Amino acid sequence: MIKKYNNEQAFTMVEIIIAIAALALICGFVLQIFILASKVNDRTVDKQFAINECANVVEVMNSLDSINQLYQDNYFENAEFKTEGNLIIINQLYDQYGVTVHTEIVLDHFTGYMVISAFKNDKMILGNELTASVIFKE
Amino acid sequence: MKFRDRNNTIESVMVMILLIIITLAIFLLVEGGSHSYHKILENKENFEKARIASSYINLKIKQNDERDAILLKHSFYRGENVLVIKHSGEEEGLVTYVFFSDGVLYECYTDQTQMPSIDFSEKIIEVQNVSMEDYKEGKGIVVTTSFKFNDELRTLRNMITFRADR
Repeated sequence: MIKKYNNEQAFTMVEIIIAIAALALICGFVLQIFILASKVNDRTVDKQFAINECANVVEVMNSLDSINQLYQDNYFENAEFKTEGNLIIINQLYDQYGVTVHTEIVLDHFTGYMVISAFKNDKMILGNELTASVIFKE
Repeated sequence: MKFRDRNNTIESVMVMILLIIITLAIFLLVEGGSHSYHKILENKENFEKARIASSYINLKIKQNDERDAILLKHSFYRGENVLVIKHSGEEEGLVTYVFFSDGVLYECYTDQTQMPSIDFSEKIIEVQNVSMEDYKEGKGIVVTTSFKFNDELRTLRNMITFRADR
């Protein structure tokens, strides 16, 4: 039986299928790496965008004379405000990226303490570790 | 004997076909990978350029944030808004113009009587688009930079507010 097999020396269909399947598997695996790299890059840009918008929040807050100005002059576009005692919550949606920047400000007379986070599709892309202080002019 | 020859020929053809398939697959994989890598790199580069342009203007404003030292002249150069930074002290009478023209952000350090011109300007960075607008009636400047990301145009907005009293 072994002798007969050796004499024929041809590839069987099963061997070829296995070889092609192995190749497809390796190709699929390598392609997955590229797709993952592209996704990671997209996420990085979303994150950078969120950081930029968070920096804008800090910049705007520090330019205010008082916290009342925030409500009067419509400083943030597409923003929802919520006030709970000395806590102010601002949610801004950026349609272009589908990113929401969530800012919580704890007020203490002329100063405030901000905790900023950003979300995309309800998934946090920038954590609560981004904090900043704000000092109002008045 | 004849049967074995035919068998060997088929075997050789199959091996060649298999090798061609493998070569094609590897070629496509390398080509796809290279394209994907270049795309990622291009996206990253475009985004970084937009960020550098925005940060540069931010830095310029923060460095020279004094009373009446920074203003935005509307449609001043080729229909574009120009950031004008007036210098004081030893540099009295000199101004720095920061403006965007034909896909490049320029800086022009010159006499305040002169108009900005590309001929004696320094090229800062090549970028898709930069626009500067007033923020809340002179409270600051909003810098919007555009960049290409996956063949679509995206924008990055940077708010720069003045600290010095106006």
